[in-house]
Amino acid sequence: MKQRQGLLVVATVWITLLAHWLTIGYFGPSPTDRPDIDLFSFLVLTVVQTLRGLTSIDSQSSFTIPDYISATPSGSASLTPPHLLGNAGLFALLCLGGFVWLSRAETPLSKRLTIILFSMAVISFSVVFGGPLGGFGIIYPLRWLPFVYVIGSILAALGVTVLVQQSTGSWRTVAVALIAVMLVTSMIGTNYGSPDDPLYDDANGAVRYELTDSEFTLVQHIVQYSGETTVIGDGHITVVVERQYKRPALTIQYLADSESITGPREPTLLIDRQYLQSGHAQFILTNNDQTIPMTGSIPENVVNCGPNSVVYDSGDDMIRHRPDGWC
Amino acid sequence: MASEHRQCQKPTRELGGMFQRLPSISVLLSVLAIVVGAGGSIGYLFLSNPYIAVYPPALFIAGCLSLYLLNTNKPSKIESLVPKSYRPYLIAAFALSFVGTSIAYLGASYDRSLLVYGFTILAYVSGLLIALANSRPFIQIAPILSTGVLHRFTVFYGGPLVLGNDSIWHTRIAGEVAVSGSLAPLALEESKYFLTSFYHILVATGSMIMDISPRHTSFLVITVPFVIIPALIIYSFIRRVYTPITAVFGMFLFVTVDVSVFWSVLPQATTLGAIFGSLTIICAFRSMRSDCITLQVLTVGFFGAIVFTHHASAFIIAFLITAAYGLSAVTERRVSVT
Repeated sequence: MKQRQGLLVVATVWITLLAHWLTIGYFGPSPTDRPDIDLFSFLVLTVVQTLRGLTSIDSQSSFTIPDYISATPSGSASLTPPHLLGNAGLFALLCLGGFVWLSRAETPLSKRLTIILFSMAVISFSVVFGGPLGGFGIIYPLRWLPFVYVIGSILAALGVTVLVQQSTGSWRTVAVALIAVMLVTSMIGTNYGSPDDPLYDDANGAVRYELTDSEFTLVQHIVQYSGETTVIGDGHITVVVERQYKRPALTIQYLADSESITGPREPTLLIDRQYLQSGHAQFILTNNDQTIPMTGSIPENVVNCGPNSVVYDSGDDMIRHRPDGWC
Repeated sequence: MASEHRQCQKPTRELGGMFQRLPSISVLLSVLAIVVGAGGSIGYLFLSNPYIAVYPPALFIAGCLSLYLLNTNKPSKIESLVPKSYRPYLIAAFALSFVGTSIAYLGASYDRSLLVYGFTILAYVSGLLIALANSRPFIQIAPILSTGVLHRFTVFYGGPLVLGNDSIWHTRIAGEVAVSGSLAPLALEESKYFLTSFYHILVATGSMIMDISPRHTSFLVITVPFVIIPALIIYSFIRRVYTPITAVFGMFLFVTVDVSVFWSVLPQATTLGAIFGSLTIICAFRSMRSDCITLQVLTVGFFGAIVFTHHASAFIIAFLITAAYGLSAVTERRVSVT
C-alpha cells in the first residue's frame, strides 16, 4: 500500500473522531440542570483533573481500611491470582508465539505481519497495564481487552503451535488436550468468565451479576410500592433499581469514623439482601476523610443501625424503612 | 476491469535488512522478557496486586521457554495433530457433552451447576480435537463456535434480567426506542449516546422486526455475532498467513478467553464496537498489502460505524489503526531500501 493512502486513512479516522466528539453533548442534546458541554471538552477537563490528582499527595495508596471490615478496594485489588492465571497463561503464550515466530516465520508476508502484530500487542498491553500503574484509570483497561485479544489470540495461537510442535506422535494429541483443558478450566469460572455467578468465588471481586428469584421479587416489590422514596443498597442492586426501573437509588456509603451510613435526611428504603454479607457486595467506604469504592462484606450492625423497621421479608432478603434516612 | 484487477493484486517484494536479523532480535526479546519478568516478580514484594503476582512470572516463563525453543532444532511442519481414526470417538464425545450441557442446564431450571461447567469444558475440548482431526474449514469452525454460542446462552439466560450494569441501561433504552419509534428516550436521559446510538437503533429495529424482547434481540444481534465474527476473522487471517492448525487454535483461544465471554454476555455498545472493531482491523491489515482502494474505503466505513456506536471503542480502534499503519510503513520502508 502506498504510504500516502495509509496516511489518508489515519487522518480521516482521527478527523471523524474529533468532529464527532466536538458535536455530541456529554449530557445529551439539551440538558436541563447539567452543563451543555461537548464530549471532547468534557474529556479534556477529566484528563486535566486526573493529571492534577496524580501530583497531589492525597492518593488511594495511603487509604486505610478498618480491621473489622472484610473488604478490598474495588478493581484489580479485589481479585486473587487464580482469577488471572488463565489470562497470564495466554499472555505467556502470546509472548512465546511472538518471540519464536519473529525468527521462525517462513514467508515474507508472515514475517512482516508477525512484526506488526507483535508490536501492536506490545503497545496495547503497555497501555492496558501502564495506564492503571501510572494512576490513569481513565483509559478503561477492561474496555481495551476485547480489542487487544483479537490480536492477542493470533499470537497466542502461534505460541500454542510452537509448544505442541515439541511433542511427538500420539503425545501431540495428549499435549493439545491438556493445554485446552487447562486454558478453558482457568477461564470458565473467573469473575469475567462467569459474571452470572463466578465459580471461583474466593475473591471479593468475584461479583454475581445475576439476580436470584427472591431478589428479583424484592426489586419488583420496591418498584411497585416505593413511590419516589430513595432506595439505598449495595452497588449492583441499586444499579438494577436505577437503570432498569428509573427509580432514584444510592449505593451504601459507610462512614468508618462514626460507624454510620450517609444518605438524604428523609425517609429511605434500604435493601438488606443476604448478599451484603457474602463478601462480594459493592459499597463506598469513607475513612479519615478519604472515600473509595469497596467490594466485600458490609457489617451487619451497619445495615441495622439507627431507627428502622422491616417492611418486607422474603426469608432471605429484606427491605428496611428508615424514617431518618441515615444514622 | 482488467486494470482494476491488476490494481487489487498484492505487491510481492523480497525481504531483507532487519528481517534477516530477526533470530537475534528473538533472542534479545527473550532475554529482555526474562529480566523484566524477574524484576516484576520482585516488585510483588512492594506492590501486592494480583496482576503483579501473575503477569511478571508469566513473562519470565515465556522468555525462558522461548530461549530454549530457539536453541532447539526447528521441528518439522505438522500435518496433523489428531489422528483421523479418533474422529468417531471425538464426535461421540462432542455430541454427548453438547447435549449434556443443554439437558443439565434446562433440567436445573437455567442454573449452571458443576455438571454444566464440566460438560461445557468437555464440549470445548472435544470440539477443538474434532477441528484438529479434520481439514475442511466448516468442520474446523462449527464445533468450536457452536459450543461458544451454547456456553454464552447458559450464562446469558440464567437470571430474570440482562447481566451487568451498563448493559441493563442500554437494553432498556433500546426497548424504549422501539416503542417510541424515535431517539427521544436518549435525549430525555440526557445521554451522550444520543448521536452515538447505533446499538440502540440496531436492537430496537431487530426487536420490532422479529417481534421479540430487546433482551432476546441483543442476544441474537450482539452476543452471537461477537462470538462468530471476530472468531472467523481470526481463523481466516491465520489460515491465510500461517497454518490451518494455528488458525484453529486462534479461534479456540478467542472463543474461550474469559474477557470475550464477559463482553458477549453483557451486550452493550462496547460489544458492538468490538464487533465493528475486529472488522476494521482486518480491513486495515488487508489494505496494507494491497493498493485496492475498496479495502481502505471499508476500513474507514467500519470505523464510521464504531464512531456512531461507542466513544471509547472509536478511540481504541483509531489508536490501533494508527499503530498498524505506522508499523506497516516502517516495515515497508525497510523492504524497499534493500
